Amino acid sequence: MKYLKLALCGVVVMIGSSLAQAADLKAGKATWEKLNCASCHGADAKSPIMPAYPILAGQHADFLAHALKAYQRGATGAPASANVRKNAVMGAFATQMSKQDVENVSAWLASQPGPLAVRR
Amino acid sequence: MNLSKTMYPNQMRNGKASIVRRLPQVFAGLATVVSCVFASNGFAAEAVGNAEAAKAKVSMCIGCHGIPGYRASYPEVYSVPMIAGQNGAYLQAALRAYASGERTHPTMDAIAKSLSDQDIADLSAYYSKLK
Repeated sequence: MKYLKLALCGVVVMIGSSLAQAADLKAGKATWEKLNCASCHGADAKSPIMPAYPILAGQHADFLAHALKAYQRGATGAPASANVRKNAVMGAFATQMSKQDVENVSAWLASQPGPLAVRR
Repeated sequence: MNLSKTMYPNQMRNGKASIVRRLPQVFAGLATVVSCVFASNGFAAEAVGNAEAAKAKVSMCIGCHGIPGYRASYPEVYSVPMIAGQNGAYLQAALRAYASGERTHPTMDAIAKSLSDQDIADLSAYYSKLK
C-alpha cells in the first residue's frame, strides 16, 4: 500500500510537471505573439524578413534565453565585461520581458522545427 | 619632332590603323578605370564568401560549436548556439558585432577581432551551407 501511494504520487508529479511545461510553451507562444517577434523573425521563426536576422526555431533554449538577457544588460547600461548585446530594436523588446517571459519564449522557440544543427 | 610618327609610320598613312595600333593602350586605360570602379565598390560591398576556403579556418570554431552539448560558462551557463544552417548574413553580422564591441563575450571578442573580412565571409558561407 505504501508503495502504491508512492507510485501514485510519482504519477501525479509527472503529470503535473508535463502540464507545467506545456503551460510554459503556451505562454512562450503568447509572448512571441504579443511582442510581434514574427514581424522580423518570420511567422515560423525560421524565415526572417532579412537574412541579417537570425533563424531562431530549434535553437537551444538556454542560448536564446542568454541572448535575451544579454540584450537586457546591453539596454540597461551594464559594463561590457558583463557579456552584453547592444541593439536598439532587440534591446527595446528584451527590456519589456520578465524573467519568466524570457524562459517561456525561449522554450517555445526551441520546440519549433528548424534547420539549425551542431555540425562541423 | 613627333616621335610617334617616327616610330609608327603606318599611322601617318591610315587613321584606322592608328586606332588599331593603339587598341592595347585603349584597353589598358579602360581596364584601369573599370578596376578602380570595382575597387572602390569593394570597400562598400561585402567580401564574397568561399565555403571551401573556410575549411582551413574552422579550427577556432569547432572546439565549441562542433561539439554536441557543449556549454559556455560565462557569465551564465548556456549551450553555445547551433550555427550550422544559420543565415550567412546573420553570422557575418554577429561576428562583426563581436569585433566592434556591440556584443561582448570574452572568447568570441578575441576570435572575431582576429578574423579578416574575408575570413568572416568565408566562415559564414561555410556554416550557412552546413546543414
